[in-house]
Amino acid sequence: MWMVFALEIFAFAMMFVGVAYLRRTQPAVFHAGQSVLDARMGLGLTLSLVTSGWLTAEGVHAFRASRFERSRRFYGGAALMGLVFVGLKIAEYSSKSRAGYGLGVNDFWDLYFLATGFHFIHVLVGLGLIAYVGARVGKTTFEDPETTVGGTALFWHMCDLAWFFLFPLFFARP
Amino acid sequence: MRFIAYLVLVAAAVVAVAWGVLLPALVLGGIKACVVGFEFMELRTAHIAHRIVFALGVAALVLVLSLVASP
Repeated sequence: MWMVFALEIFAFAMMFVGVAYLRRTQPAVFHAGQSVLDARMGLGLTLSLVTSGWLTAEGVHAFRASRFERSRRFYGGAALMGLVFVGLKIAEYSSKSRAGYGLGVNDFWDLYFLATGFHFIHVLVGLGLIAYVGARVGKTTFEDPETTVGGTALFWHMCDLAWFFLFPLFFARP
Repeated sequence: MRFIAYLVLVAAAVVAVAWGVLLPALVLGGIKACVVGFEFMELRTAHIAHRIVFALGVAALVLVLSLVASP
């Protein structure tokens, strides 16, 4: 699982460098695109992911202590906060699309939708895993509990880590 | 301890948005990555080599992104 984590983070890191390069080479295009983004929306997305990550970590510890009901509640909370992230992101994509921003407009929007879209797909996969594991904690005997429960949490935390860099690269000014 | 880590993450996110400047926001991103890595991903109980590699990896990423993005 750590190998998957390392490879995924490497893929994200390459994308981060691409965004950083665009910031330097096309500052006017980047600034124009950035001015349309809402930092409060970015903060909301960050807080929902961070809260979900904390609840997942609590869920893993409750599972290891065989407190399955408690673990299920934490996983449920984590999935709910993950859904908040998904809802906010869909609302943001919709509003940008209605305003005429999308793939093909310019390099900023191409990179914005590709990078955040790549992250969004990871969040959807992680959310599915969290919901799947959370619904089965204490009800099913996992063949490899540590990989199933710990590995799912690890994947979810990776989504957090990627967002911690994606967010400032798009939202912060030089 | 995990709840304290969570509060640190929330505070760092709010400060990054309020400040709004890239370099401090990247450094805060690195700090948040280390908090998640060491506390939530439990790297603080891992072998010291793994801890060092993770921390150096995060520091290297912050450095590279700062350099590439700088005008």
